[in-house]
Amino acid sequence: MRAVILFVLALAVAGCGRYAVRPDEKEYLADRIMQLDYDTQEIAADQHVLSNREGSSGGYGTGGGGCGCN
Amino acid sequence: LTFRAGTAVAVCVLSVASVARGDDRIDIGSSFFFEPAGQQKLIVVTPQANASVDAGPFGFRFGYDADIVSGATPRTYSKIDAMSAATQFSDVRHAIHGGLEFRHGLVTVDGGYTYGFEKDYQSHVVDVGARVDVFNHNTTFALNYSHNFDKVCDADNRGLQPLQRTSLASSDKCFTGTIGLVDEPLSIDAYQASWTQVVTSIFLFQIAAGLEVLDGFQSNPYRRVRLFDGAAEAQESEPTLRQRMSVTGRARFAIPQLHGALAAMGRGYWDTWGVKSFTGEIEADFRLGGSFILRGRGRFYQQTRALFYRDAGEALSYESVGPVGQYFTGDRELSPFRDYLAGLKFAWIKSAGPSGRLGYLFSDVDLHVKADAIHYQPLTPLPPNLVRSQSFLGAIIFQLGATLKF
Repeated sequence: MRAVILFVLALAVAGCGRYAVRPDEKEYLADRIMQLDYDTQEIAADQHVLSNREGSSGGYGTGGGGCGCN
Repeated sequence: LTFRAGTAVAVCVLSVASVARGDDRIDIGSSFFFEPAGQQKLIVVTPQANASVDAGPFGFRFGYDADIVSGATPRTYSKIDAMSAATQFSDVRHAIHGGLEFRHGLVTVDGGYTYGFEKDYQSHVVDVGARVDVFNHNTTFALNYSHNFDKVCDADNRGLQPLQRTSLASSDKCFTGTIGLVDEPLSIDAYQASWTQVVTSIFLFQIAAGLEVLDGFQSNPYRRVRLFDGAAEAQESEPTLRQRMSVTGRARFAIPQLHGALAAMGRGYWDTWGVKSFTGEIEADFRLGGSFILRGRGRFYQQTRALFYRDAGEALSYESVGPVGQYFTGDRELSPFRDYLAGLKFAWIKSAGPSGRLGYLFSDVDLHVKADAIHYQPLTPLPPNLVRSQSFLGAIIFQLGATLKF
């Protein structure tokens, strides 16, 4: 039930953002420094090192973000 | 062993995430990890090479990476000064991976395969994922799943009680069918869901949840633990089932006035072995002129200990009172500690623009170097964490890399 509520909430918030940012307003979001995982090789290397020195791993999220055009 | 299992998972994550969009690219690089830790120093060199190619609605990716590991580690976990008993070791892990992506409208699906191998560990990983971009590309939902079919080399302890088990002496004849050695299976199912949301023209966030189920042999086959004042010494015994859960939130804010961006990340983690952790990270990126990017970041991590973990020097240690149930371990990743990381990255980027080529070949070139320093802070300064308390600098990481786009 909690998962359903969260999913509905996510859709609702996402819906609010539907017209919030138009493509011509994404100049800054399109910059690579706004990408969540621009350098996937670096991210993988970081997680490889740290997850093997610490007792927890996984679930850090996926790439994307920025201009939202991927 | 956990290092190697984690490696397989990391390679899986890499293979899922490494596809370039709308261009062909090659990523090459190498990482250098050094942990001084007195006589238990550890050096890991990780060269990587990945390529991705776009062909209409399809994307192809393939790559290779390796871990060249050398160092020293104690084979026996006890309150005796482990440094004097540290054993030298070295190993090389290889991993090759490939994958295919298909894009249709707002939906992208992908699948991949990774094969990793070293002297005492073999791993086959299949992964699939799906992503949908909706609401003018302001919202992205993604699901990923991977499964590991792994094998661990071990001494043949089948049918024996935990206190009777012996450790693996050498990896020399692993996976050859030699009598006295067996292949222990380990399967890993990893699920992840994420939601990425563009909120304003300078702000976006992502929320992700992950679940991993590990079922099989998860102990270090080489490590022995001393119990009952030395009356028994047996191979480390860890549960065969572990479920890991995590929730991660990330956000990025653009700062146009400074030609930069700020990022923040928070992650909560808990598992069925009793380990709970929190990770917090902040990052700042700034463009310097048209061709340079400088990044600084700070990271904090803290975890509790596993339910069955005992420090070697504490009153209720395995050496004093024996196993916790049927479990005993010398894995310091299961001990309580925190660490701090600070790092800098410097990138030089050059774009040929829409009409030209760099060196007659590349549309973009990106060269970067980064350095991170880690400070460990054991929350119980007894063995095995004692060795982590001996210097302020717990570990350093250097990375060199290049991205070439065609």
